[in-house]
Amino acid sequence: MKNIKGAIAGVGFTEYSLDSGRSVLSLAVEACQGAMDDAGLAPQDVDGILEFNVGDSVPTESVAAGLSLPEVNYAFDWYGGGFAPCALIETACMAVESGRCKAVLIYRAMNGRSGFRLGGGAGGEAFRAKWAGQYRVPYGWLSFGQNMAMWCRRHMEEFGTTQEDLGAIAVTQRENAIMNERAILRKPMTIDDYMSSRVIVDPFHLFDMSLESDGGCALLITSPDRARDCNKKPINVRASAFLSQATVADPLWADSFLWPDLTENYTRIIAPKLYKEAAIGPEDVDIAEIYDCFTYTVLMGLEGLGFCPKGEGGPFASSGAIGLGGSIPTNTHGGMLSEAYVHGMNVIAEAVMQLRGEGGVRQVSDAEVAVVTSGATTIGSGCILTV
Amino acid sequence: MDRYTIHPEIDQDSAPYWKSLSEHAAKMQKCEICGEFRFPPAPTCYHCGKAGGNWETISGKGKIYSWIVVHHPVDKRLAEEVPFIVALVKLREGSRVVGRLIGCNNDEIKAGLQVRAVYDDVDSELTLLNFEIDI
Ligand SMILES: [Zn+2]
Repeated sequence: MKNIKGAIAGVGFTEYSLDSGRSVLSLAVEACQGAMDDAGLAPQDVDGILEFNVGDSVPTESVAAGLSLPEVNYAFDWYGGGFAPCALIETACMAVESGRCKAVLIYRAMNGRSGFRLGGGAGGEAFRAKWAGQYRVPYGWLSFGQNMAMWCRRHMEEFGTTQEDLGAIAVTQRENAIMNERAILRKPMTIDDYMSSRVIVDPFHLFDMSLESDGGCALLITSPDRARDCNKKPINVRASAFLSQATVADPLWADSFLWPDLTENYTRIIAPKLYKEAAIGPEDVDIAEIYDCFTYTVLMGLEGLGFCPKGEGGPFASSGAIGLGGSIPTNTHGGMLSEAYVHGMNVIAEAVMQLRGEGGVRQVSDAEVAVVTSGATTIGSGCILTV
Repeated sequence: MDRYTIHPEIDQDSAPYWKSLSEHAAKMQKCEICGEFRFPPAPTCYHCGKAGGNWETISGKGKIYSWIVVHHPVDKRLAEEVPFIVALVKLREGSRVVGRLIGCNNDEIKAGLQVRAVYDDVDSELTLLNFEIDI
């Protein structure tokens, strides 16, 4: 079939929590087993396995052993952050398309709250004052949240984006999380609750920032032909793109020195490639699942993906356009702000659920085309998925 | 001073920069081929890819590109310093640098505001580059 790069045939989740009480290995294996069961594939049907980590996960070989995969023809562990999920889908599609693999698992598993806390700053290797970090860390600029706040401020200064605009994103996503039984944060939140929440790094309040959580999430990619014989309706990968911009930071860090304009991110560059490959435009997209480590990355995504003009993401979000009844329902599961932080894998999983019509009470009617993104700043990837 | 500062892990590329701060005359590399300044320090020019470049003293003047006010210190050892302001400054020479913004309040700051360098001798080994509003 023309213009289909591969198909997502299975999705697997563990419970999302603040303290799993389990090993990362058990989370990874459960998520992958869930994706195989969802698709109806046995160990002998799966011969590729990919994952990404920041030194906080378990290697593909161990997970393959845990799943008793008899023969693994391609495996890849990627030291990297939230830019990875859609890029790994692209890699899995290439492995399937080239004939190297029959079916490929992709997982992210972490005890991100009870174990290694990525957002915690000074503890991790990634936050040391070395490489480009030496020009930032001694001044007390330590965490990725501070980084995104720095990016966000520029947008507020240049375009008049308000605190309430950021709050609209957080509040909208919470409304969606309330309808999602997997979500960790399901307590109703008003814009007043948002505005009165603790200021962490001005302009960011507590609810501008994603959760830290424990859990695993996996996808199973196979060929469109094989996917038709699986249990569930195949979700087609129609387009994919990955920008790995030259950067003076280390791979986990956004480059605030060389990237020309902090009011826009990689979505600005990959969007035209995605739409061209899928032969559609933003007006054809039914749902957007945008990587949301922070509210501001959603705002950059809405603009970069062409759902509103540049600079107008704030008023657009505040208008209700991103709600379930709006023109582009966004982060319909609550995102990483309210569902869980599984480093963007859960963001893609939600797109698959919606396109299958398995969104439950939060299902967007007639959702047939989704755009999904992975990553926050100068490095990122994206896909267009269709029924 | 006994305040807590995380020291930079200085390498061969960055050593001349940190030394220039300790001399209170910040220097950056200027490409001999295309004439552009570059920061952070690097063996080759970000603009044209050519190696080399001369270390030249910069003006220390620039404009605020963006800034944050850190309330949660992330590292507990910085708890007594919060809130503090960290700015991303676009220098007259074209590069962006990071420094604390001192002597002003959050509500006085705007993108584009002129600032000038202030050298902060942290201890005998380290001088940081901070900024103040340049009226
Ligand atoms: Zn040059």
